[in-house]
Amino acid sequence: MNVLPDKAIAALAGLIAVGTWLTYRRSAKKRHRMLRELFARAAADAGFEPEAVLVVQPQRGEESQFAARVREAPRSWHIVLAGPAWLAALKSAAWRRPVSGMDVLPFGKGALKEGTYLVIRKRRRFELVHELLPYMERLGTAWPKVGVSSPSAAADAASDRLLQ
Amino acid sequence: MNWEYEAAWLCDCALAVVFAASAWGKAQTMTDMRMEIKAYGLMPANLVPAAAWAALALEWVLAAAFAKGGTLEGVKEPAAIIVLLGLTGLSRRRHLAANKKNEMAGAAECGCFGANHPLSRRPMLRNVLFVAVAAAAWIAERPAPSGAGLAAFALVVASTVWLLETFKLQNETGEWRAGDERAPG
Repeated sequence: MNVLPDKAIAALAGLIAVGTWLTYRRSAKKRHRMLRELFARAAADAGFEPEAVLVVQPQRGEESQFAARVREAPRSWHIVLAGPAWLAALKSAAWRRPVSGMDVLPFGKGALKEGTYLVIRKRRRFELVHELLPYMERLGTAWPKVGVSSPSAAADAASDRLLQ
Repeated sequence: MNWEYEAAWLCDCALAVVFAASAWGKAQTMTDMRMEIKAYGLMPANLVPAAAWAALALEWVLAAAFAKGGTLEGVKEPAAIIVLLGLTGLSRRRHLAANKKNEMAGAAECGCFGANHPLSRRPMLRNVLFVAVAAAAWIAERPAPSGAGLAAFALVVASTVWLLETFKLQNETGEWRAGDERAPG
């Protein structure tokens, strides 16, 4: 025998679903805010609005897999190293690319401060790419289309200035 | 109360959640999904985008079929088992290849649900578990829910998917560890 009729159970499930959806939206907005802050800080360092930000965590050594490809990455990207400025300067010289050092990424204690990944700005949202090695291998081909509309003159100028 | 019915609905619910969560995660990280398919090295690069859309559609169809209870009985369960076994094989193959090359990325977790998702951990164990659940759902018999019961069932599935996504987001932003950052006093 059912304790509650089906309609009451459906109403209760509806209330729970609304609550869960609102919690989900709240967390999604929080992550969006943090990624926007990352882009704002990257733009302030780079001197232009980057199309994508490559976050590199040097302690995990993952960047060694695609280090050779970083030089070929679109100049509309900006590289952020989760570490001190002197280490970023070393990487910048090695990769011949401007690299910003950020001791503290805007992700608190979250998992996003620990990994190496690419954040792509897509109109009003951000997409994260963790499969960097195959992604780097595809650059310049029909897909993905990141970097097709760039580099901009501002990105070029900022890059040249930082590398001088 | 018929325990066989309850157990069968629970199996349907679990499988609907796993396929819906996977499709939801993939829909938000299509680039990652394409790269993962490319990394398997099973098809030419120009077919990868179409394969990614096909895989996404298949997962939504399976999620909807399990969320609707009595739909496609005897078809959806073997289809789910084949999909899960196929994904297990691909994950295993990639894991072995990564170990061979001594690479770190992508070896410990799968990207099936998107990075940092609670269900992305221990992909082998998870898939074996869900294959067993699909087999149990195949054997068990139950009447299809209808009307308000069906709505409640679908809402439970949706809530669980959003809850798992919330865990993922909070893990990424450190939201549930935020209390540790507060200074005492």
